Amino acid sequence: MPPAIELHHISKTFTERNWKTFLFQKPRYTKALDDISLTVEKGEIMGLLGPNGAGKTTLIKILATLISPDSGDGSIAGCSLSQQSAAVREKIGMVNTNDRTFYWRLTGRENLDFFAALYNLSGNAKKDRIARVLQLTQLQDKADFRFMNYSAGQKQRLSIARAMLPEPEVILLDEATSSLDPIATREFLSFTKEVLSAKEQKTILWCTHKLNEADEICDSLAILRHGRLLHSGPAREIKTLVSGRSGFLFTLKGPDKVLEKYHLSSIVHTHDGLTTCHSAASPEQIPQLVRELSAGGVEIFELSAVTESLESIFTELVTTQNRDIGHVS
Amino acid sequence: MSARRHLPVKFLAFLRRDFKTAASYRLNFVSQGFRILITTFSFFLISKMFDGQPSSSLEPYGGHYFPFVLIGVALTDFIATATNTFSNEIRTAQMLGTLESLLVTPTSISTILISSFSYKLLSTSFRIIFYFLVGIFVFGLSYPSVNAAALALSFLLTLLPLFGIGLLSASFILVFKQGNPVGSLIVMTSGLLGGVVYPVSVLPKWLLPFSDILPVTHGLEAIRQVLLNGAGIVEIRRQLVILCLLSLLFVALGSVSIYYGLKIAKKEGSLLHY
Repeated sequence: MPPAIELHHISKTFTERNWKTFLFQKPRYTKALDDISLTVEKGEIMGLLGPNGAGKTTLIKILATLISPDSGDGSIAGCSLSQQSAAVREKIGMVNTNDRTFYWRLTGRENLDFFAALYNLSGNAKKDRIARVLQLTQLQDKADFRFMNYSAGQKQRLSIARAMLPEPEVILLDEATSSLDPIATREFLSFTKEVLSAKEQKTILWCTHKLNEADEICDSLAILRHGRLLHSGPAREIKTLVSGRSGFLFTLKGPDKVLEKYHLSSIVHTHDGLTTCHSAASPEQIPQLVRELSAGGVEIFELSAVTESLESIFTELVTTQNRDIGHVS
Repeated sequence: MSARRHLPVKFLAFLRRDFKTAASYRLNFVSQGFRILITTFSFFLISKMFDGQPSSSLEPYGGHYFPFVLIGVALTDFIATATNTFSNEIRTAQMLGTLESLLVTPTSISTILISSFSYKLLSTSFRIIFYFLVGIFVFGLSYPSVNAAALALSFLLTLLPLFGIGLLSASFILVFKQGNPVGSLIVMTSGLLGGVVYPVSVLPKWLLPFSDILPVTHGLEAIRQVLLNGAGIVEIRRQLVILCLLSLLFVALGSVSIYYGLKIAKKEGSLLHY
């Protein structure tokens, strides 16, 4: 079975042209994506992270076949982006923050009816599908209200309902929570995780700059900066990439040789003869490590787990120059 | 199921969408009817100035100005709709933000454009009928026995080249976003040189070749001959042949330009920009 999303060496440069560039100026070029290769497996929730201008939205638009890449190609559920764009569009559902993508003077049901026809649905199949997505998004009671009267949360749910019309294999979520309040955001996150991912088994590409959300629901992460893919892989592994930022903190007293032997030389601080140092050991390795340290004459006064937030790791990754740790998985 | 089999469903979906949206602005229906009444009344009054003054230019059309001009005015609405609907649809969808949601569905841009034409064509046809109903029932116009086949063929062949010009305008909007020189130029020159409110025969000789390349000139001539002189297909064959040739030319040009326009916009990443 092909991966849900596969990208091979995608590059995209935008050219800014105006009347001056026709006459005497060179056009300005902006490299939006540079040699991006990425794989998202079926059923996975991948977070696409990056600061503003990193190329996230360009990548989403290439996947939605709205922009053609300059080089490279990719596929969605085995359908080529460049050769089978209509088939690709049958396999994706797109949710973004823009509520202007609906017809405000039509009701929710009328909007869905219109878009269902564009997804090649007709007759009873269309009626049944609309009923199903309304039920899924719990909008049955609001379906016959005009879209203009929906709350932000309801608009976003209708956007999901529309994305689910073709029963897509992949859902592209582009900054989907940016217009939602904290309660609606929480509902949206749990809906994505519990319904779209767990129940409906959809593959989700979650494009966001809200790192806490990505941290909460994503199985894997891809981090972009200046159009380049800094890292991609399982979320947990990415967190361990920046050494010394996850693991355990020991407050102890003991011979330096022993500390060096157990890779405890990364000293955070010393105070009153006690040393606080970091260990990158996994939770499973800790009991054994504690026993061996005690046997080596080390007195342990305090032991605590370090759970680094994705935000601090992300900040470090995207602000550190010339770092190239590479692909994790 | 092939994409072509879904076409009628999509066509109807656009028709329903546009009708429901238009129906939600009820006052607009009333104001459109009122505008037609006022326009018709204005030209009726202008025609009063020419009453009793025989004009050689109007003789091929029965000699009366009001029935002549009413056809021109009603058809202008049709010309503007056919020429500008595609570009307006793209521009409006870009501005509103609906273009993205249309283009991520497995529906081609040509289907979107053609389908979006359905309601506009229908509503313009109703307006044209309303022009004639006002002319007949309010201002006492009468038309001799009309050859329905000749009339339908004239309308269709007038529509086709305008349809091609409409595609050309839409591709311009796709690439350059603002301004629509193709549509504006055609509507303006059609009004000036196409024989809308005066016969083409009054134009200076040097302008006649420009008038001849406009589909409207031949479309209006054919429709006037059918409505005012009871002409059949044989009598208007010259206009029909020219309209066929213009249809081939403009539809081919329009199709090629929309293909390349879309390609350029996707390449530049500017498809959704406005």
